[in-house]
Amino acid sequence: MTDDPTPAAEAPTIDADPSLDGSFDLGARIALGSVLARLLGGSHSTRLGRYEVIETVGQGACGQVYRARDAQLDRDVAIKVLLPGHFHDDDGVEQRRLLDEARALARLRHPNVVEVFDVGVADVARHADGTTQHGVYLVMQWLPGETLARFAASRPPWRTLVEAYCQVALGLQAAHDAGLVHGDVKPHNAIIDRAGLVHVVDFGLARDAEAPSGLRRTVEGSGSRTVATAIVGTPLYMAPEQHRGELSPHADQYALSVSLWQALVGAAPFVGDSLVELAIAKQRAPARPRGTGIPRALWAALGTGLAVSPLQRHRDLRAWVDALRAASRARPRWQLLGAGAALTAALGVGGAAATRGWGAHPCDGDPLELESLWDDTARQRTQAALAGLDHPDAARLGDAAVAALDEHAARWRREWAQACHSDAAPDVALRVHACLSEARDAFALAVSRANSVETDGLDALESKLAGEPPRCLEHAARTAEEQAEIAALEQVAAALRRDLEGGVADVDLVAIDAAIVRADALRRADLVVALQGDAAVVALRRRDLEAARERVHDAVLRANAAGLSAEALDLMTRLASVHGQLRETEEATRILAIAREHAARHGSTDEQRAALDYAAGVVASFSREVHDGAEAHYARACETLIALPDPTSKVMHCTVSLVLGALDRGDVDAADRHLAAGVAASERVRRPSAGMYVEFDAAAAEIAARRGDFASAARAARRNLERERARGPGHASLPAELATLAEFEAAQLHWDAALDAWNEAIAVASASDRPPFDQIAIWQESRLGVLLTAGRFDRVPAEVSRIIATTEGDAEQVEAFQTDARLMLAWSLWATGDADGARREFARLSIEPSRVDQLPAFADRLRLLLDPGAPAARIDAFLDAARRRRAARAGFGDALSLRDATEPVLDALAVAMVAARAVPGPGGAPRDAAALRAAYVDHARALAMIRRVAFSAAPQQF
Amino acid sequence: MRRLPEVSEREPDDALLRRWQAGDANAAERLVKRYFAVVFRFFRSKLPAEAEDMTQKTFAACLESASRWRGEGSFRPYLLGIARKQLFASLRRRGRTEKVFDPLAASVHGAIDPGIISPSVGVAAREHDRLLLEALRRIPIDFQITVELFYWEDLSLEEIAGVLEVAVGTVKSRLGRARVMLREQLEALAADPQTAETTMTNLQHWAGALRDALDRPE
Repeated sequence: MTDDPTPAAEAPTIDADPSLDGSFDLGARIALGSVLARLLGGSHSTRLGRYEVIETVGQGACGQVYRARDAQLDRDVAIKVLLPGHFHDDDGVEQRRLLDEARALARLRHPNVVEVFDVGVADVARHADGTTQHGVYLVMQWLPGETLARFAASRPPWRTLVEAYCQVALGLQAAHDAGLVHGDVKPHNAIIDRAGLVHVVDFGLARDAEAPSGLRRTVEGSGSRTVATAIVGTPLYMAPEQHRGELSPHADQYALSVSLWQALVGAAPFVGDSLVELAIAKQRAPARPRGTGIPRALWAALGTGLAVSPLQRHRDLRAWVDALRAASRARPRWQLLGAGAALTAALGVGGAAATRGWGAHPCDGDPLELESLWDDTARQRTQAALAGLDHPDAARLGDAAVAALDEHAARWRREWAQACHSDAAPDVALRVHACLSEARDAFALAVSRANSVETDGLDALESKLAGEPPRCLEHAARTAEEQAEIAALEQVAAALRRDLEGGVADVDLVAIDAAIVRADALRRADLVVALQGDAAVVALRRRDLEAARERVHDAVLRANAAGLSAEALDLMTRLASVHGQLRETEEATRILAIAREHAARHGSTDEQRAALDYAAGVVASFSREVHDGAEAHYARACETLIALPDPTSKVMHCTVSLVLGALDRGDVDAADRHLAAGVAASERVRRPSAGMYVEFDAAAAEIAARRGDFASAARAARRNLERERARGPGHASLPAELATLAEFEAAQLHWDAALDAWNEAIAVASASDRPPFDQIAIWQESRLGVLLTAGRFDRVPAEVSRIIATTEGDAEQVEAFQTDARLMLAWSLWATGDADGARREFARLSIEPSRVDQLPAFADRLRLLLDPGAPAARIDAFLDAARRRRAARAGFGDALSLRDATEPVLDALAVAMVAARAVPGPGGAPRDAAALRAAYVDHARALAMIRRVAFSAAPQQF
Repeated sequence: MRRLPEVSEREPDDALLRRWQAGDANAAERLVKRYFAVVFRFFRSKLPAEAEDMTQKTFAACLESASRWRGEGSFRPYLLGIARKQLFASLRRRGRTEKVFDPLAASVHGAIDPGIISPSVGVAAREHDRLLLEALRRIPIDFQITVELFYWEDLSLEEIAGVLEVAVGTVKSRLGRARVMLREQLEALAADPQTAETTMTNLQHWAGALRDALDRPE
């Protein structure tokens, strides 16, 4: 750099190429290189001294900007060439002034001001007659990134925008301190790089006191500035005094305030069709925008920056920054929700809460850029383009590619939603959003790649499109330790999900809770929600409905607060189901309504809608009032799921519910139809879950049993048993499968097979970490029933003791089992001929008078039978009554509890034994085998119904 | 000032074009370098932001239709004819569908978003030329083209007629009308009568040349 405006020996010159005809300036020379490269391939770059110019980047207000490579320092640079043609500068005065200013800029070192490496004068044009032209050039930092104009268009949170503009302000302040004024501050003149740092560029070096004289001044008054080609200042952002030609640092403050206002609101504070109108509009203070959620203090601070008189603005940009940052610290209302907030208040549903409800958050919805990039129109276009390629598998590959892009877009939206809702510090937020912008560009690239793929590229397209998910929250905000910890937590969450899908029951919830606490501390709301939601499923599988409810409730609140709307919907659905299973019908219905509203507002997939229907079915089936409505809900859910082109295993749940509902009504054919439809749909399931086939076979077994075809039922049960065994130990379903098989064997009067199965079931269940005592008691009772029916009375007392031991000290609902067990003991003693023993046991039952009517009719029966003087007529009458009772309960549909369910079992047993006069001596065979078999059919039906009730009480994990 | 092309030591244009057609990249490069400035400034005075892109398209189109040019006449008008068509195609694409694009009515200034800053064109480095350029951009496009081809590119009336695909007489009348329109624009744009006059003086020279051209027997 020299003070002499004539070019020094090493100053860059445009290379003289004799094969170039005509006059060339640097821009033309570079364009030539670019055109040659595009037409012919190869490299045709232009050298400007030691810089190799790669491409034209854009038009600044005062000259061309190029991207070049500095081979010596091995970095990219931006070269701005100021063409002198703007000014009449015959004696080089103007050029000297430009050089001075450029050098002042080069001396400035501030992170928010673009760095200038080199300044000088060079030949920048060569005319046809061989004369050359000089121009001032600047070599600057190359800044890949986007302008604040584009950044604002992607609607980042307002605090992020304020922070970005504060960085601009600090850069400008540094320039002001060095005696420079920018003169053309606007969103296009600030660039945010990938690291989230904002740089001021394009200092108005071309400003001059006199307007270019060639063009008419369009504003009246002395010294007015023409803006016909916007050479100096951009009218929209110009301070009022700038219209008159006065330029001071306060003008930069004004323009900056206009820019930030525009970014926050989406429109400039002053508008006008002509320069005159605009100037007039600027004389009035702009109206404060309403309903933005931005504190008043911020608008007040900006308003000061927009004062008509420069002296009434902030003292300097430092003061501007202070005022804005102070105003930013006010918290908006929706972030004040505590963790204990009631669900409806948190979800902002109904009533006064609606004004600050969920939908009004500025982060809601998708940022505009992604929406137009990948909306329905774009999707269809890409799909059509791919399907239309001349490839045998075009449709399928096209669909796969579109699905990959959907996934890509969904991942971006999730990151964006999370970033938008995170309460990270503003500078961190800025980095995150810069990262998101880059990810969005990557997505745009992916879309255009998909749109322009050729036939032979179609096969590889899907794998090319499956890119890395954006990790902006991670990279921007985390230390290396934090990142490692998060990776570990993600593993935990993934492992939990896998275990659940595989049906594993042994999950350490203590460890999961610890993981939740860590994930919360690291502000990974998505992990917290996933872990908590899955922990709730674990609780459900352990039949701890209350714990499940608490967890799901917590997960819903967190998902909402974090903007994870899809997860929130799934969790709300699950919460409704859990409330339903706890018979909290009113609450469940309310949650369903909230969930539907949420789905309407945020959108939902077909699967999610089906899940809502299914949950409504669960709620109805547990509710005494609306019990019958359940089937309609299940049917709707199934309809939706079966109609999906790509159904998932969830189609199994609703199918089974429909099958059981139909069986409940006694409509076996309908049950068959539902099952057939479900099985047919399941063939289209690409990734069947482990439990899908099990459930289908279980339903098939149920139907067969209902038809009395216990052989087929047993076969289906055996299939399921093999599947369970194949999955290895640790699965909760093995005992249940064994018990199911046992019943079907018993129904075929295969006593030994039945007893073996029950024995194993009870043994396995008892040996697990959390034995399901109530279920074990049922199986023990079933086993006892078989023993009695089979005449193995010698085993009865021990069996009864076992039942009593099992149910001792456990849930109160099994107290009834104890009563029944003692009754059975009494019965068996009587059956073995020990009438006295029977009477003793019977008397031992301390039956409180108030509970007499709660005693099963069985007790009456026993009392009758224990009466040695009971006449045959009385016994017949008793049998008749018992048969009638049985007939009245033919469908067993009104038994809603395990307690209710045991009645028919005992009735059936009693009928069987009395009818068969099964009072042989040890080893004797019953006299009326047919009646006994018929009775046992009833018994099996009753037990099946018990199982169904037990199934309903089992975790609904849809 | 007319500048005659040097024919010595240079391969004729049609030979270079044939060789380019045959895949000779060297020949292509030489041909492009020979005519780049012509095409580039054609677009620079109309669509500066896309000048590079449109120039590339023009050369690409010229290669594609190379078989149609049998070497009659000079290569330059042929190339400029293609450039003109590319320009119109671009302007049509950006226009609204209900308006039919009419190069005899629409000016470049009207077609482009006024927010776009028009740069100083390297060739027209002098201010008066720049003023003239501003005025040119405000008259209908085909008139602008006519003037530029005559004033800057030194094409003959016949060559201009070939580019515009009209009769020579039409070219003459257009030049006359263009002069009138330009004067109007200059007076509207110039900051003071002095500047307008100076620029018109340039035009006078041009007009003189025009007169010569107009008076020349056909």
